[in-house]
Amino acid sequence: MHSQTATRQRTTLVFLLAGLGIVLLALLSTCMGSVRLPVDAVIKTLTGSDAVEPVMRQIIIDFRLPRILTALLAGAALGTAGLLMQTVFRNPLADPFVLGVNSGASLGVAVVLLALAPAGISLTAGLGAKGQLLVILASSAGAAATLFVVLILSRRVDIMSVLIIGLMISYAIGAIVSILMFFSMAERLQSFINWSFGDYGNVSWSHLRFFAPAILGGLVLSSLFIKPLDALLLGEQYAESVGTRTKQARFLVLLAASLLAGAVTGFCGPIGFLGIAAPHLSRYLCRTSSHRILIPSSILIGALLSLASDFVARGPGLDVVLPLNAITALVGAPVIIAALVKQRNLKRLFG
Amino acid sequence: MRLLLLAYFTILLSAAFLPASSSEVRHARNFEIIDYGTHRMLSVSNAFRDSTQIHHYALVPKRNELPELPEAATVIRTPVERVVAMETVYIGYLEALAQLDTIIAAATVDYISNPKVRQGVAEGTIQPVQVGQAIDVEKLLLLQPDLLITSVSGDAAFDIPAKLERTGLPIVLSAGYMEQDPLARAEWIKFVAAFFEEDELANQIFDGIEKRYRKLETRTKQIEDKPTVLCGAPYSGVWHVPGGDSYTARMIFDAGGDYLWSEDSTQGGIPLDTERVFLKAAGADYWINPSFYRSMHALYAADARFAKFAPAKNGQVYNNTRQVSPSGGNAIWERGITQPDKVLADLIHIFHPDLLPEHELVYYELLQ
Repeated sequence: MHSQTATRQRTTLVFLLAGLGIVLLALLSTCMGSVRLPVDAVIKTLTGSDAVEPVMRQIIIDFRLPRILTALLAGAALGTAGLLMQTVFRNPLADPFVLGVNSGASLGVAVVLLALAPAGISLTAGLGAKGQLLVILASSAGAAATLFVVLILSRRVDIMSVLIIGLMISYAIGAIVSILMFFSMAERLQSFINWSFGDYGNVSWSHLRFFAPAILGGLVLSSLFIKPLDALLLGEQYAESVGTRTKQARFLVLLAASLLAGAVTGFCGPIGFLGIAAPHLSRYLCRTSSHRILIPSSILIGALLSLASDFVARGPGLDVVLPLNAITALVGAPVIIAALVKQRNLKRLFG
Repeated sequence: MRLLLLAYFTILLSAAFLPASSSEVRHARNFEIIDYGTHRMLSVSNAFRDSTQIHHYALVPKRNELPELPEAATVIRTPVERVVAMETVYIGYLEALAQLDTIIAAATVDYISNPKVRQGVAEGTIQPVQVGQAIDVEKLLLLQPDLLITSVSGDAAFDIPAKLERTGLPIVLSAGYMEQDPLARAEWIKFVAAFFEEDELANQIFDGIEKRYRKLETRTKQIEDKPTVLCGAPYSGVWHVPGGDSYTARMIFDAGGDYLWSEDSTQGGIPLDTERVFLKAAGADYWINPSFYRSMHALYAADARFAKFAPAKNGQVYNNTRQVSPSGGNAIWERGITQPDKVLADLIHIFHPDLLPEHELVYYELLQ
C-alpha cells in the first residue's frame, strides 16, 4: 500500500516537473534562436499587442511558434511510438529506427525527391500548397509498409528474431536508398541529405493543419489500448487468457505507432533516439510498467527531450542550425545508457 | 641531375616574369600562360578553396619535337582534337570557340543544355563516361582522348578518383569556378583556347565581352537609388546565401543592386537559418535565384512562409531558369559563363527597368 502511494507521488512529481520544463523551454525557445529577440517583444506578440515590429512578430508567429509546436508533437509522437513498439515486441531495444520504420520512410522520400525528380518536383508543384504532402504521404506509406512486413514476418519467428529481421530490412532498404543517391545529381541529393538531418523548422502553420491531427489521432488511438498493452507485456498467452484479442490489438497498436512515427519522419525527417530514450526514461523515472502512466509520461518526456534537442540544435547565438538528428543522438544516447546502468535488470519489466 | 633540374626550375620561375605571354590575362587570377617558343606552359593555381598546389601543363604543338620539360608538367599535344568535357561549363567555352565537334565524351550528360551536344549524345558520337556518381575509367582509356578537362572541389568523395589519375590520360584541371568576377570567369575562354591554338580568336571574343560588360556597368555606376536584393532559397531549412565576395554578389553589384549580404567577405555560400534571412531580407525589393523553383506556386509549395517576403508579395521574384532543359541542365552555367554581359543585362533590366527598356530577358524569368 505504502509503495503504491510512493509511486503515485513520484509520478505526479515527474509529470509536474516535465510539464514545467516544457513550459520553460518553450518560452526560452521563443525568445532565443539564431536571432535573439527581446523578451518584451515576445510577450507583446503572444498577448496579441500590435506594438511590435512586424518582422519580429512574424518571426515569432510564423517561424518560432510552429517550430515549437512541431517539436512538442514530434517528441510526444516518437516517445509514444517507441513505447508501443517496445511493448508489442517485448523488447527494450525496439524503436522506430531499429524496426526499419525510419529506413522505410526514407525510401519513400528518396523515391519522391530523387527517383521521381525532376518529374517529382513538377508533380509536387502541380499540387500547390499541398505539394509537401506527397513527400509526407510517401514517407508514411514507406514507414507503414516496412513495419507491416516486419509484423507479418514476426508471426513466424520468435520475438527476438524480429529485431534482427527489422535490422536486415533496414540494411536492404538503406542499400536501395544508396543506389538512388548514387544516380542522383547534386541539387536533389542536397535536398535529401538535408531532409535526413531532421529539422522541425520546415513545418509551417499550413503543414500543422495536417501534422497536428495526424499526431493527435495517433495519440488518442494509442491511449485506447492501455489495458491490452499491459496484458501484452506479460506475454501473448497471458493476454489471451485475460480476454485480449491479441492479433487485433497488435495490429491496431502498430498502426498507431506507424502513423505517429511515419508522420513525424515525413514532416521533420528521420529523428532518431527520442523513440527509444523517452520510454526508457519514463520507466526509470516512474518506476512502473503500467501503460496508464507510461503513455502520458512518454508523451511528456518525449516532448521535453525533443524541445531541448531543438533548442540546442538552434545553438542560440549561432547563425546556423545544427543537424537535429545529431543532437537527439547526443542527448538520447547518454540518457539511455544512464537509465540502463541504474536500472540494471530491465528484463523484469518485460516479463 | 637533381641540380640540373633545380636550375631548370629557377629559369622557369624567372621566365614567369618575362613579358612573353601569348594571351594577356587581365581579370582571371587563377591561370597563366607563358610562351617558350617551342611550347607554352599553362599554370593553374587555387584549383579549390585553400589549395596551395600549382598545376603545370606543357602545351607542345604536335608539329614540334618534345622539348625537355619539367617532370611536374602534364604534357598536352596541341591542337587537341579529342576532348572529354567532364563538366557542362566547358561546353560553353567550346561553343564560343566553334570547337564543339572535338568533344568525344562527356560526364553528367543529362545536365547538358546545348542542343548540338545533346544530339551528339543521343546519336552516340559523344560517349557518356559517367554512370551515376562513378566515372567509367575503362571507357575513357579506350577513347584515348588528347584532353580531359575537369575541375576539383578538394572533396575526395566527389573529385576525380585516383584511379583516373593513374591512367596517365592528359587530365587538365581548371579553376574558373573559383573566380569571383564574372569577367574573370569568362576570361577562362583563353585558357580553353590555348589547347586549340585559338588564342587570337579567344582574345577577340573576350575583348568583345569585356567591352559590352563595361559599357553596361558604366550605366549603373551613376545610380544612387539601388534596390535591395535577396538571393537563393533554402534546402530543407538551411539557406546558402551567396557570400558578399561571390560571383553572384559581384553580378548584383555591377547590375546596380544593393545585395543584402554585400558586407560579408565570404566567397562561397553562407549557411543561414531561415529566421535570420527573414529578419534581414523580409523587406527586400527583389528576390533572385530561388533554387530550382520556376513558379511562385512551386515556391509556396516548398514553404508557404516564403509568401511573407516583400518581393514575393510584390511579384518581384526572378530566377535564372528561363533556359532550363527538361532533364535539368541550365544554359546559364554553360553558354551564360561566356556571356556575362547578357546575364548582366538581364539583371539590370530587372533592377532598373527604365535603363534597358528594349532588352528581353535571356536567362532570367519572372516567377508567376
